[in-house]
Amino acid sequence: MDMNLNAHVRAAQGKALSVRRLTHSYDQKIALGDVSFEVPAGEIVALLGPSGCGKSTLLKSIAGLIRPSRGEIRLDDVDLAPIPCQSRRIGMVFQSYALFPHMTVSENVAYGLVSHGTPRAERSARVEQLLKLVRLEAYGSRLPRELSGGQQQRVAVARALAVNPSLLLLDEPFGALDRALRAELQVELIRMQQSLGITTLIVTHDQEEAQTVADRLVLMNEGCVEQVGTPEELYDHPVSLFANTFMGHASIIHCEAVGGDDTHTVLQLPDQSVLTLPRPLGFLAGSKVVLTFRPEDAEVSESAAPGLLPARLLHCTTLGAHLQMDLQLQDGTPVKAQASRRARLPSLETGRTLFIQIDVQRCHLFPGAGATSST
Amino acid sequence: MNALAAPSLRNLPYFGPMLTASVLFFLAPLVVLAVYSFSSPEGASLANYARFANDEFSVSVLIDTIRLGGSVVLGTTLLGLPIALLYWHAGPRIRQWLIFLILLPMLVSNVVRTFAWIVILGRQGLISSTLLYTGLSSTPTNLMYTEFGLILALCQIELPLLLLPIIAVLSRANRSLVDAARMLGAGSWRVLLTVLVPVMLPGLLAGWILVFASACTSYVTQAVIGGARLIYLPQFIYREVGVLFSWPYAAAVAFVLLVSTGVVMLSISALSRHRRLVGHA
Repeated sequence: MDMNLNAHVRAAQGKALSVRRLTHSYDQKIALGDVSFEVPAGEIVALLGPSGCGKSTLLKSIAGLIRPSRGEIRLDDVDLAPIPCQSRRIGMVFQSYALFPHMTVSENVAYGLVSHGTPRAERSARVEQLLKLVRLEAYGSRLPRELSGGQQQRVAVARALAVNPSLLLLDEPFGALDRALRAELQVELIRMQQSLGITTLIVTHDQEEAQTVADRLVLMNEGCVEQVGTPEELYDHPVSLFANTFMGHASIIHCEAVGGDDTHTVLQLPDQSVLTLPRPLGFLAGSKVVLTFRPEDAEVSESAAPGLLPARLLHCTTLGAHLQMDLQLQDGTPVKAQASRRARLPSLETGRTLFIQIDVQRCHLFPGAGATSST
Repeated sequence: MNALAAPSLRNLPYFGPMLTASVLFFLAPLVVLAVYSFSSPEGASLANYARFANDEFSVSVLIDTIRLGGSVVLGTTLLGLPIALLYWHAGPRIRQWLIFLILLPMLVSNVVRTFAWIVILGRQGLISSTLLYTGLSSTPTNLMYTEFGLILALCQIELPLLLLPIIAVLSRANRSLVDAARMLGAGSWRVLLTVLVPVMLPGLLAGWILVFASACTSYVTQAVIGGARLIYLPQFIYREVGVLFSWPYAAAVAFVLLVSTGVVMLSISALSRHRRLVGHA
């Protein structure tokens, strides 16, 4: 991209966003329960969670479209509560793009500039810059309905950026696009965000999208922040069973902590076999626990050995360089295992019994229903 | 409607009944009327139209009729826009009540509604007695047989015709448009003028067509509230048909009414085909 153009578009630097103890409820139903997190200036953070987890409510609170019941939202230490949404200068890209259907692309992009009283000459120069930034120079006089979905999305981004916002909010901006286009626009967004240095908060329910675009993720569930961290932290060190299963796939085995000490934990699996993990026992003996592992942390072999779980092969799928195997333990628990297609593999006829070795270093243990933690 | 294929003979069973009904009950009478309007003692001629155009009174009746339609369109718009905005901002319960209240007058016959207005507009009516009681006027006010009284009554009677298309458009409108405008720094007035009104416009134009056509041709209301003092084209035609038995002339006047209101309506609908308005309603 033209560096001179960036210098022009970059006028207002991104500001740091800080959300503290935000609480909101609709008709006595809690939508947000004590949400706190920070977005450092110039960073891109994804709000991730299943639909109905409160992420849209949170975004609207920051935008000023709804007034949260309690809590604080600060932008570079300025409390936003007394500032009405039209004076916040926060850019927002809506899920439906919300382009004004009766205005041309240029008029849409210029809308915020007119609101803020930018002189006419400056306005048209700026609109031209922004259309260049999103590569739609030739489309200024078109109406939104004459554009494709991806082009509409880029107009929405240009319109949000027009007023030099110090914060950019994106509500599921790629939701309505097909997979290939989504990937392309995600890359474009990252590049644009980095060159403009604008603080960006993107809402998504797609964990892959969140990992692609964001430096840090805020994982939400049922109105609360579940975990905040880099994509690697969330994937490798999930703090809860929800975080573990939401990010990527995790196989779940319900078992019982039967013993252990300061160095190891002994689990009894549903088929009465015993698995020893090299980690201090964090549970009272006899409590129900949940063992989870990633498909890539389970290795399959043909022959039985102590510590290996027998499982029936149900299905085998090729995912590029990998083979994904759907297996079933003897008690019916479904598990997934992954193997490189380059590795020497046992014969994979559906229905045969294989033996799974779970990576005891990398698997996770969470309290099960009715479990008591000893620490 | 580009989704509908051009009528072909294969689709005859589908459009045949409608076509027959249209030809028999709409096109045929219209042709008969047209033939009548050109007949005169000297054979086929434009004499009836010439008589209308050369008669100052007839032309003034035509102008009054168009002006009445225009005034009612303006009046219903001024009354309707606030109600439409209330509908936009209301929750689902209030919306249901609003639709019920808007439809309620339509359940009562036009004749009954017109007679109700006599009670309100007359010398001893609601408006007059309220003005006397509050001391705003020392003499009774009579709004019967005045243009203002007639416009007032017609505005109330035609209001649902304006509101229903607007509400249909608003129910489908994307609420994020207003949020987007506010995020871009627009205040309430700017949101109203640059977002809400343009979004409503296709419905508003459809409503204008309905209200204009209905107000120009509302014979009963015009006759009862306008009385003998205010004459509009429908009464004018009735007089030629029922009193003076001058059917050819009445047919010509009817065609003048049809064409003049038709021109106004066609120009409104041409507006609604503007490129900026197509497709988002």
